Amino acid sequence: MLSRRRPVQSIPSAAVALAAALAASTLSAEEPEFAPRRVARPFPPITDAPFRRAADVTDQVLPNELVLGVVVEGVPRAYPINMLTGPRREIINDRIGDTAFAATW
Amino acid sequence: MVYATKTRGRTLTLRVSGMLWNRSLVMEDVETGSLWSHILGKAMQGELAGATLDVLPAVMTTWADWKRAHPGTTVLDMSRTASSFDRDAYRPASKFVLGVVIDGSPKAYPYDLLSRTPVIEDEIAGRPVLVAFDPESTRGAIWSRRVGDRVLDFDVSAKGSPESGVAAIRDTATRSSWDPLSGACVSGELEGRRLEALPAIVSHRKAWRVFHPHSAWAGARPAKRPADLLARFGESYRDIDHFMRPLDDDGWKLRFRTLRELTLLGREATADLVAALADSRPAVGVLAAQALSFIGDPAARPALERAAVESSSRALRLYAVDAIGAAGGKRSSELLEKISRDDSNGDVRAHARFALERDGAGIGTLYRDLLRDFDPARIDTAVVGRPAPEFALESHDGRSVRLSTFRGKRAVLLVFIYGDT
Repeated sequence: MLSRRRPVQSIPSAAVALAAALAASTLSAEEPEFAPRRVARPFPPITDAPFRRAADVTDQVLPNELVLGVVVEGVPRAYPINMLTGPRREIINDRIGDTAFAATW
Repeated sequence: MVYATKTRGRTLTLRVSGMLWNRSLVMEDVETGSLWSHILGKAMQGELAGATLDVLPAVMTTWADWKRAHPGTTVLDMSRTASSFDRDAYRPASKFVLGVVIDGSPKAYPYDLLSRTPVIEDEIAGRPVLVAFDPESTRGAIWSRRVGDRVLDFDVSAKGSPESGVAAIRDTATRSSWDPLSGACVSGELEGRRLEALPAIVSHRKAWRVFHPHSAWAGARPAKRPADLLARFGESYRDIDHFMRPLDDDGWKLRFRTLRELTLLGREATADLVAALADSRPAVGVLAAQALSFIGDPAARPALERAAVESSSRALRLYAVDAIGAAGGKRSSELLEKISRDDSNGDVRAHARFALERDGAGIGTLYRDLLRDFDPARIDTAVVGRPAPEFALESHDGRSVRLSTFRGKRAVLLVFIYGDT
């Protein structure tokens, strides 16, 4: 209900209403509530991505560009962010030796 | 972020679920259909709910830097999706953090702090760590300082020049020389040893706050004393209408800045705020009552109940009633019912009815989260006769709507709903 009177303090009153509305949604103080929102259909997993050796890199990745680098079982591997930024590409399932892992963005 | 995908005895295949949570990726495993928070590495829903993935120590750095450190590296070979995601992506530095979770204790190291102090010795959850950052490549790493049976201390005062990035540092026990970015001992008694990498990730400052609300923050300024904040406010205010109406720029910004700082102090501020309820300057008492309404501390209840009945200032009575509600109005229902009938001011009566409905759960945390990133300096003030300041809000269906979208197209009526609804 809107007040017929001119409120004494409109901003704090609005803040109280906002806080009360949020508090009423039983928000846990300890852990953020899991409330996912669908924005697209699921994308197929990537499991057999191709790799090349550093010596064979020409302009696929440039010196100043960022990579996610990891050393697994002593083997180094890099994932250029420019290849991970599309929603289809954000997760690369991979394996080195006995270690299964996923490089994610 | 790189996750080991074996958990609870099975190896998972992860895919992009098409869902977002707090604007962050939700992953789905093909094997069970469980949903995983990308940033937490934890299954939030489905058969594996509660399971976690181990983070493998990975670094975010430039290709040039990675190739120099690991000439034999292999590199993903897919088509490019963006024109150039380079080190400028992490500017301004103030928006990013290097974060780590150790034994359930998260800690964040802001990039702007790391740019000034690229090597930091620290302890997280009792674990001795070394944090290193290279402003040139924006590569950051967090290492355990435990080598064998020994905990190493480093002389971190020898900083690299801004041009050369981070210089080698020595441990105090053996004077061996270490490269803080690779974690390798490069000369001395311990040459060839390596520090164990801890799973640090690069994150947006805001995202880290959302997902790790209780995180420790490196370089956080020492807390201000509530009495000092109240004194500063008391010296600066002119009169109560200066803050309440009209809401001119200086007035409301000083008031909200002070309220924000008091709210972030939380229950530590309660005793000083209770004392300030009786301050001879009305604006100070009103501010104290409002801050208590954001903190929601039951310990303030007796003083608030007195103020809500006895104060001659209607604004103070109003906020005292709000503060009683924030601490759980149901526990003061007799008093609030009386105020909702008998107070001479209609707004105070309305707020008392509203406070009666409140159980006070989680209010302090909620307000701290709302106010933490609130910066009045970045907000314009509406002035009668001038165009409304630009702002954006989220609509009921999650879209972001900017006021300027409507400029010249149609009339816009802004309604700010008042407290008793």
